[in-house]
Amino acid sequence: MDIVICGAGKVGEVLSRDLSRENHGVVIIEKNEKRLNQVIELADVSGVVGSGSLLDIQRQAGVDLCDIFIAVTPDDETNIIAAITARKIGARHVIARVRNPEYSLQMDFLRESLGITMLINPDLEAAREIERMLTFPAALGVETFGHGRIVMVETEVHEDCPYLGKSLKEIGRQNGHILIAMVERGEQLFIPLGDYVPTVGDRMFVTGRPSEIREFCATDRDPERHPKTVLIIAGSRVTRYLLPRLSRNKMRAKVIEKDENIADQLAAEFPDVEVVAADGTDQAVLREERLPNYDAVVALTGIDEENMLISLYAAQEGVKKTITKVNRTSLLNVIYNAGLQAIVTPNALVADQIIRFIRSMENTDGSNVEAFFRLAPGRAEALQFKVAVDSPVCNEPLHSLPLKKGLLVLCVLRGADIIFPEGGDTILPGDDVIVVTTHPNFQDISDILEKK
Amino acid sequence: MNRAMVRFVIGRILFITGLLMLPSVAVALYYREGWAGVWPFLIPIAIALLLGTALSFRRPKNPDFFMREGLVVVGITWLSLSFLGSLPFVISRSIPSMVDAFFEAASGFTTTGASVLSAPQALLHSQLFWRSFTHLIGGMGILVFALAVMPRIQSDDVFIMKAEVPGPVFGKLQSRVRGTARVLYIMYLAMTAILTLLLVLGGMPLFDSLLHAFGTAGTGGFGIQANSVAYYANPYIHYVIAFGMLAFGVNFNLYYALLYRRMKGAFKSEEFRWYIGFVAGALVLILLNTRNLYESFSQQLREVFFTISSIMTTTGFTINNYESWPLFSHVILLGLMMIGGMAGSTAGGLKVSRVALYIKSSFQEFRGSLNPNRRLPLRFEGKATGNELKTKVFQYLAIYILLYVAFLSVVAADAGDFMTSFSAVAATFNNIGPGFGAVGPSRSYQELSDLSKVALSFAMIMGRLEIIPIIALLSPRTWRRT
Repeated sequence: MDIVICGAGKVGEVLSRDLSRENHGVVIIEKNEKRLNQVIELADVSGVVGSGSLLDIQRQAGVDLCDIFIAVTPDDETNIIAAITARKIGARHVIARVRNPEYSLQMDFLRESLGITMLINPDLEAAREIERMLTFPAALGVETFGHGRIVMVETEVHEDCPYLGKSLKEIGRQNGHILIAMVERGEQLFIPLGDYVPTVGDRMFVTGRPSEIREFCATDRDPERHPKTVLIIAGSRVTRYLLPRLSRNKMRAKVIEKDENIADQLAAEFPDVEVVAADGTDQAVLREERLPNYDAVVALTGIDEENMLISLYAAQEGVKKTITKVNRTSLLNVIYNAGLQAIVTPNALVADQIIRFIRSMENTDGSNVEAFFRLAPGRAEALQFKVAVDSPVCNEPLHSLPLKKGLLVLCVLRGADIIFPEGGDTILPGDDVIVVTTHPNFQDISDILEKK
Repeated sequence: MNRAMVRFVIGRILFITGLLMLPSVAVALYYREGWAGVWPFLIPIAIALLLGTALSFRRPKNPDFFMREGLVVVGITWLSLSFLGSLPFVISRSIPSMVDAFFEAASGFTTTGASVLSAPQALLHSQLFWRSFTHLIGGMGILVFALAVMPRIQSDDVFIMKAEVPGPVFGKLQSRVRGTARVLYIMYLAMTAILTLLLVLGGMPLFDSLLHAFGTAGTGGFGIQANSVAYYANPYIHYVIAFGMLAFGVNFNLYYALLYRRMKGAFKSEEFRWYIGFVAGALVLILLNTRNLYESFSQQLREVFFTISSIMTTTGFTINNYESWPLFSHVILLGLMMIGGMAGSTAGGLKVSRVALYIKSSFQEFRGSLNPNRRLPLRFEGKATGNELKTKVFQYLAIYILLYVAFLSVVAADAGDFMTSFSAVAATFNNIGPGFGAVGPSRSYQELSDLSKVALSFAMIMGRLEIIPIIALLSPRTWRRT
């Protein structure tokens, strides 16, 4: 596909590198010529020097003919104007990064009336990611389907897993609606059958209702299902997005913010949250605010090093879950070695999301796939199909359908209901069906059937 | 909250409390009161020492100690102190009712001097001694004493001292909390000794001199005769006690400055000038108001000066029945009750510095309304005070008034008239002692209901600790781990 990226910042760089590697034609628009050349050296892309919000420059970059236009300059207004312009002159899909919380309130308007396909807010993404990390502390990764109604959690089997040595049949009987969709064992990837027995080191993709998944993931090592108290250092924009999410999950939060004005604002905005105006990098302050007694500590200051130090200190004091915000992706390797538990990088999240979106665009183009998720890159996928009236999968119980091997009908969305189907269930026209498969290139729901 | 640390510190303080009861046992032995004199003290001593040892036996691993712990320690200490202190009265049957005894002990430790006894002279010497000795302990504070004598608990002792020493601003005399606590206690005990000596020279028996010196030093005011200091019909004694009370109503930091730093004009302190100003103003007004009641000016001057000194410093000794004065004088006295002594003294009340700030900022409000955009920093002690201090001082007034009304409504339920209930709360909440009407200088608090006595006991403790530590105990927020 032809993709134009406006802005060669951190996100632009990651995007151009990853997208060019996946054989897309990428053009970058960037004001700073030096910076543009740097990126062109790193990735196989071409570039145009100039402001991405100008019509001329956009034409020059071929925006009018491109499939996807991505505006990721540091400036919200530039991004919005560039996206609107790109849409008007013919880009098929436009994506814009918008940070200002006030714009995110009018996201629906921007999306529907101005035709911007996707608005991405890095701070909001970071807050969402942190929420996921806190609500599923044992999870390695979390995906959501069907507009967030279904959660798929990736979790590793440890020595203290209560299900060791039990077969899937037994496990299923104990746990109502838990479904193990996929198991990764070393290089092997398979959809588990009733005789599957979890062994140490297996990575399971588990799906079901959030509360039941949490129950399932809980091990003896973390008896608490999720943190009840969260200490947040610094009242950044991410904090603003995070606080309502925490209270939604019944977690009690305390925020330590150095700037008194920001602290006052936060305290006024969130009356239930305890806001402390103090220096959150000061150990004495952290002790006075009882950091060691918190279930989770989230370091969100604007300075990576401070965040890392806070998290290391918290881990040393015995805090079970620490989450560190790190902006500079180049630091990531250092951090993994330093033993920080969980890291959030807003720019990487944005790049990930854009790439995921482009991949699903690519896969769903010209097919009936509504949504597409890559579980283990290149080897397993989850696809969401809309079932047409005349589809051959309809009106027959699943066990009598000639289904392919290496495939699982994960769930059926019927109106507001979520059905985890068993052999006797039937798919009806109009349902949304989510399928997990190791077969590549499914185009339609009928592909799940063995060809006659 | 770090409960282990709170438990540990309270254990240590209980132990010290036990030790502080030993002098009373010595008095009982000296006066050959026998088993009846010694026995009432042995049980509380045993409880304090055993419980104290048990609680402080294991030193907690986590030594974190902050403001929250400080408040909780102070609150719990004062409540348990009042309970332990009441046991000798109950066991010896000198005050058989537990509620009465708790009231008496709280009154002693908080240096209120409000008594349920109408004839204290009937008590054993050891009981009388303990009753007045609580004034001495409570005046400077048991925790400050604990800090002075105990091996260092840990580095954050400052939070304990902050919570116990009254006044809007906490000033350290020396760079170390422990040094400060020691200096305070040395000055305090030395002044008490001088006062005792002066009283003995005036012909008062040694035992009585000691007890009155305790009552004066702590600005407590438990009399050991039914008619308080009036019993000693000697103008010299009256003046010694009157000036003594005034001296203990002064911020101890001033004495320290005078003694150690030889600072010239330590008494140029603005708060001190307000203090003297209030005393002098009240003196003139009441002298004028009562001029027709007295035949001799010297007697009038003595009685008015003694009463003002006693009320202003929240002591509560009396040499006359000021009930017979006109209403105007009573109102002035009520005003003095609210003002109280200087911050950092042993006196109670709102404290002179707070009242001075209220008055000054009111004037500023007038000046400010003439020119709304004018910047008017609030100056006190020659320095512009920050908004934070101003907010705190005003919030204290708000809490003070709210609690005052709450206590007033409890007492009003069974007191006969307004003056009795209003002055009962004023006299206990500000740690004075006698009020007007049914709780006036010639009567006692005996007639109030148990509910009122319990409420007023809390009023005394809250007044002494400046409210917050007790409120902190009641808040579930305090007890959370995070």
